[in-house]
Amino acid sequence: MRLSETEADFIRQSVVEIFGGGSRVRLFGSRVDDAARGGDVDLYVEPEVRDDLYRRRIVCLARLTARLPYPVDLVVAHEDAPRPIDRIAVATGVIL
Amino acid sequence: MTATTRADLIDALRIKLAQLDHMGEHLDYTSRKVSVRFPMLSLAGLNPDELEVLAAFKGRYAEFQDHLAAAMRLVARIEEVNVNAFTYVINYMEKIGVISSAEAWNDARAVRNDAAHAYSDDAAEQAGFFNQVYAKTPFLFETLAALRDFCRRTYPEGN
Repeated sequence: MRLSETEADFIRQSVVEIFGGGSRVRLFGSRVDDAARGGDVDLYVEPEVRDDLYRRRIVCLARLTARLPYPVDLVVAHEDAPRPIDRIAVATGVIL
Repeated sequence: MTATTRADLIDALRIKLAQLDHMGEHLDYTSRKVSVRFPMLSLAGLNPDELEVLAAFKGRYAEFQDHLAAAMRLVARIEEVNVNAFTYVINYMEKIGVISSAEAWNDARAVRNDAAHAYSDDAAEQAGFFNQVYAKTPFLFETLAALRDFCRRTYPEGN
């Protein structure tokens, strides 16, 4: 996983503050691969709180983008039928 | 910075503010036109003309914010603030009271950068995106008003 412990802590803390204490966040995509270089920080959030979800996503994205020195993308888990992106993130992601 | 360079930057800033006035009129027009639809729950059921108006709203929001950022960068350059990273510009704008907080600007920027969500296959996400565009638009107008006020006081006409 190509994120520092400080960066992972910051991501985890931000997600919990914004989406609720029972939320879970996974890193997936190229930053899971230790041998790769560069790449966006792809995050997959399974939120505890689902009301006003898009606004929460924007607030979280803004906070992470302001602090982390990489492009960040944030996918919020679907509540019902999983999409391909949900399946990929769950299958390949690393829980932070 | 030489006096000439500073004067040129101030001229460029005045041109940029005039452009922002026009863009602001267009954004305000569209924002008022769509206001009855907010808050939205879904885009389902909208006809092509209604979707076109929403597309214009998204585009005008993005354009207005881009040019607002350019005007802020010009002010920072005139004031000889390090503009290598836009974070420095944002922090300076917060310090001089042009934006209420760096966080508020970053939130509005995150919406602008998330325009692809207007085409999400999730109806609630699509609506959520446009709800945020609508919610953040007043912040952009407030920011322009504060920036204009700062410029009027700091770079008076004729000087």
